[in-house]
Amino acid sequence: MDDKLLIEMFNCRSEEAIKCLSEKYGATMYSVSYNILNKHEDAEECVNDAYVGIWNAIPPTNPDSLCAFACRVTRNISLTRYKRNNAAKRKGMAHTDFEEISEFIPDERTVSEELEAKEITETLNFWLSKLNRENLYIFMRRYWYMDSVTDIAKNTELSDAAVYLRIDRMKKSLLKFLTERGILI
Amino acid sequence: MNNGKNKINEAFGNVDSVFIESTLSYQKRGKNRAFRIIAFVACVALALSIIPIGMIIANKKEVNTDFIETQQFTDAENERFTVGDISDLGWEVILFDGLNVQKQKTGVIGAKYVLDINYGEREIFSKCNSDADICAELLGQWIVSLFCFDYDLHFSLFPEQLLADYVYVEFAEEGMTKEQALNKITQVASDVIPLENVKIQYSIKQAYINDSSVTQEFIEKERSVFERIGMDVNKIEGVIKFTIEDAAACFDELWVYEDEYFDYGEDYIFYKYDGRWYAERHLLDDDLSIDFLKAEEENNHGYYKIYKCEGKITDITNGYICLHDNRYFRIAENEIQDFSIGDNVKIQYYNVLAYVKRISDGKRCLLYTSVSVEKQ
Repeated sequence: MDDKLLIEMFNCRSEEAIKCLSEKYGATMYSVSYNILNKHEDAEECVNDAYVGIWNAIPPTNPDSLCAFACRVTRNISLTRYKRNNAAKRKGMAHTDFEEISEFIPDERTVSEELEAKEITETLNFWLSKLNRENLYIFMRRYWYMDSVTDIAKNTELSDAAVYLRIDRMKKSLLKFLTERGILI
Repeated sequence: MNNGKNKINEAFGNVDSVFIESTLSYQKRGKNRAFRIIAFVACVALALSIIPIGMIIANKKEVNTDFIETQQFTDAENERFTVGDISDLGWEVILFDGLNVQKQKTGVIGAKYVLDINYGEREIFSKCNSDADICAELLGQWIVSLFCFDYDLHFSLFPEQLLADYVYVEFAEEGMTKEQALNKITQVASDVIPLENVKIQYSIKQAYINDSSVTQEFIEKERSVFERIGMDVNKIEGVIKFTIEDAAACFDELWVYEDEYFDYGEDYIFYKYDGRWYAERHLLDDDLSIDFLKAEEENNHGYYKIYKCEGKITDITNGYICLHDNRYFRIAENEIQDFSIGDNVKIQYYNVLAYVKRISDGKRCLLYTSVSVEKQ
C-alpha cells in the first residue's frame, strides 16, 4: 500500500491504518527496537507503543516519509525503555551491543549551552549529506539503527575490520566537523 | 552523561528522514560493487582465527602476525557460481583507433564497450563525437578507474571544487599534496592488488540525453551542494543519465567478476558544467584512496599488513600459485619456475583479496598478492 494512502487512513482515523502499518513496517520497527533492547517482549511492547504514538501523532503530523517516521518513533520509545531498564538495573536485562553517537565524544567535551538540538541536527544533516552511499549506510546502521558491526559487515560484504576502520574514520571526521563548526567545545 | 551529549543524541535521532529511509536496506550499486572486489581484512577481524605456530623469517619485511586459519568455501557456496568458457560471454572486440580501449559501436544505446585495459598503460578516452558518446566513455573511464584502482583517472571525472571539499582535505590531513597523495595511492595499489590485467564489458541499456525532467531533478538535488562548494547550478548545460546491462569483467584471462556485483538498475549521471562533462558526485568514491593513503609499508600497517599461511600447491597458473582451498597468490614472474604442484610452501601475503570466479569451472576463488613464498 502506498504511504500517502496509509497516511490518509490515519488522517481519517481508520483503525485499518495500524494493521496496514504493521504489515508494511512492523518488521522494520521491531528490528529497530530489538537492536536497542535485545529482548523480544520489550521490543514487541515498544512497537505496540509506537503504533499508538503514530496514531496520536497523525494528524496533525504529516510525515514526508512514513517509514522514517515510524522508525523514529519506535527508536525514541525503545531508547527511553532502554534507559529506564538500565536505570532500574533489572535482573536479567540482556546485554546490548549498541553505541550511541555521543559515546565517542570525549568526556571533557560538551555542547554549547546556547545551541538548540535543532541546530545540531542541521549540522549533522549537512555532515551526513557529505558521506558516500556506503559510508552513510554504515554510519546510520551503526548509530541510528544500532546494528552490530557484524551485521553491517554481512550486509555490505565487507569484513568486520573494514567496517570498524570506516567507522573509526567517520568518528574522527565527525568530531573534527562538530568542533570546527563550534558545536563541540 | 553530560547534557551536551544528550543534546547530540537527541539531534542525531532527528536527522533528516532521507538518511533514515535510504539506509533501511543496503542498495547494491555498481560503484560499490566494483570496490567490493577487494576486501581489507585487518588483524582485528582475524584475531580470533589466529593459529600460532612459530616464527617465520620474512624475506622482505618483519612480520608480526601469526598463521591465519584457512578460508575455505563450501561446496554449496561454490555451486552458486557457474560460468562457462569466456567465449560464452559473447564478447566481440573491435580495435579502437590504436588505444588500448576497444569498443563495438552501434549507437549509444545498445553499444557494447569492451575495455581492454592494461594496468601499466592507462588512457583517458578522447575519441568522441557527441555528448552522449563522451558520457558513455566517461562511464567507461569511471568503471575502469575503479577496477584499476586508478584514482588519478577517477578524480579527473569530478570538478576540482568538489574534490577540494571531499578529498583534498583528507590528503591535507595526511600532510600530503594532491600529487604526493596520488603517487602514494598508486604505489600502494600496485603493490597490494593481486591483478595484472582486466577486460571490462558493458552495454548502455537506457540513456536520457538532456531530458528536461531529468535535468531539472538533478539541478534541484545538487543545488545546495553546488552552492556550498562554490559552483553555480546555472552553469549546468546538460545532463545525461544511463543505465547499463551485460556488464562483465575478466581478470588476467583467468577470472571473472561475479555477475551480481553489477547492478543494472542503477542510474549513472553525467553533467556538463561550464563547458566540461563531469560525473555526478555520488560516483566519487574516495574510500580506498584514503585507506591506501594510510597504509604504511615500513610499519606493516593498513593495506601493507602482512599475513602468513602454509599449504600444498595444487595448481600453478599464469602468475599465480594455488593452495588446496582455492586461494591463489600472485607471485613474481622470475620466481614461479622454482615451484611445482605438490610443494609444501609457506606464504606471506598482503591480505587484500579479490573475490572472483574461475572461468574454467566457475569455482569461487580468492586472489592475493604474495610477499614471499618459501618451500618447506
